Formats: sequence, structure tokens, C-alpha cells
Amino acid sequence: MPAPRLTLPDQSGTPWRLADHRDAATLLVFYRGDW
Amino acid sequence: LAHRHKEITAAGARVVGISVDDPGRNAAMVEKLHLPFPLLADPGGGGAIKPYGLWNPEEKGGIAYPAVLIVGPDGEERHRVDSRDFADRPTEDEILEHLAALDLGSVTQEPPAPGDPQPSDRAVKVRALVPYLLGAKSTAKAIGLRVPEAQEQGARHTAMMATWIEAVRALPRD
Repeated sequence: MPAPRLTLPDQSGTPWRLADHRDAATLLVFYRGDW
Repeated sequence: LAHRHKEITAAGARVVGISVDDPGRNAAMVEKLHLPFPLLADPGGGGAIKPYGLWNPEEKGGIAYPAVLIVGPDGEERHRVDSRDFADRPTEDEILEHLAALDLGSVTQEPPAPGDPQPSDRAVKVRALVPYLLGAKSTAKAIGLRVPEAQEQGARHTAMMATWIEAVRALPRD
């Protein structure tokens, strides 16, 4: 199943795109946050 | 994950964290925990948390359910571990086993850009994490010893806390 598209700002505000990382596997780690 | 990051990149994967926290809060976490990977901001959950089916509207006005997903170089979702709560996480060994099965070449991951850290008022200092985790470890052990049905989960959680304590102790003091 294709992973949904994903573009989000990183901690410096720079957009991070899953599609830019086709040269490797990506471990997406979802956190509860608000900590 | 941070303390075994080199093994993860050697197995062909880069790591990103995702939560509802904004970039300033995430920059504070990257700095505090010396994370070797970026944290992505998804306030409201529309960018990733909802599309990936992980939105939990019941807590704190909406946050992500904890989960770990492996996306292959081809963009396909290869593996997913949905967690029931913060304590229900796959171990690094389990993640590395799944990556090994994909048989990928080693990659590198650039250190995350520092950003402009804006820590939460409630943020726990690194030095306070060890007693916190020791308490969690003792509690898990005690429950595992007292409740036969919880023996396996108690042992698993106790071992996970021991791993986290070791990782936190290896961090520079704040």
C-alpha cells in the first residue's frame, strides 16, 4: 500500500518531504507530543 | 531510537518523528535529547497524522496515537506497529529485524538543523528523566511480579525502561 504523501515543517521550519527520500527507507515515528 | 540511530541508518533507513507540537517545541526536544533526526510539526494532524489514520481526538484536544511505520524506498508502507499507549512501543531490535528483511544498503542522515528552541513550561529536564524512568521501571516490575497476566508485559516494559535509562544517562547533562 503506498504511504500517503507527507510534507511537514521540521524543527527549523524547513519543509520535509517524504518524496525527497526515495533513496532509502524512512522510519516514521508518531509521538503523542504535547510534552 | 536515537541511541541506536547508527544501526538504523546502516540498515538503510532514516528516521523522522511526527507530532502535533510546533517547530519551536520540536527544536527544544531535538536540543534537549540530542536527537540525530528531525521532528516534524503537524498541529491539527492534517498533514500526516490524520492521513495515516493515527488521529486520537479523545486526548488533549487531538494528538497522534503512537506508531512506528517503515516506508520503503519505493514509497510503499512496508511495516506498521500501532501502539495502544506511550508504553507500548516496538523495541529497536524488532525494528532492526524488519529493516534487515528489506535488505537495503547503508545510508547517512544529516544532523537536524537547530531551529529556534521554545521549550514548554512543563518540560522535564534531562537530569529529572532518570528518576522518572527508574520509577516507571520499578512499577512495571512490581506489577509484573504481582499480576500473573501482566508478567510478560511487565518484563517487556521493565527491559524497555532499562534501555531508556541507559540512553538518557549517556546524554550530556543540561
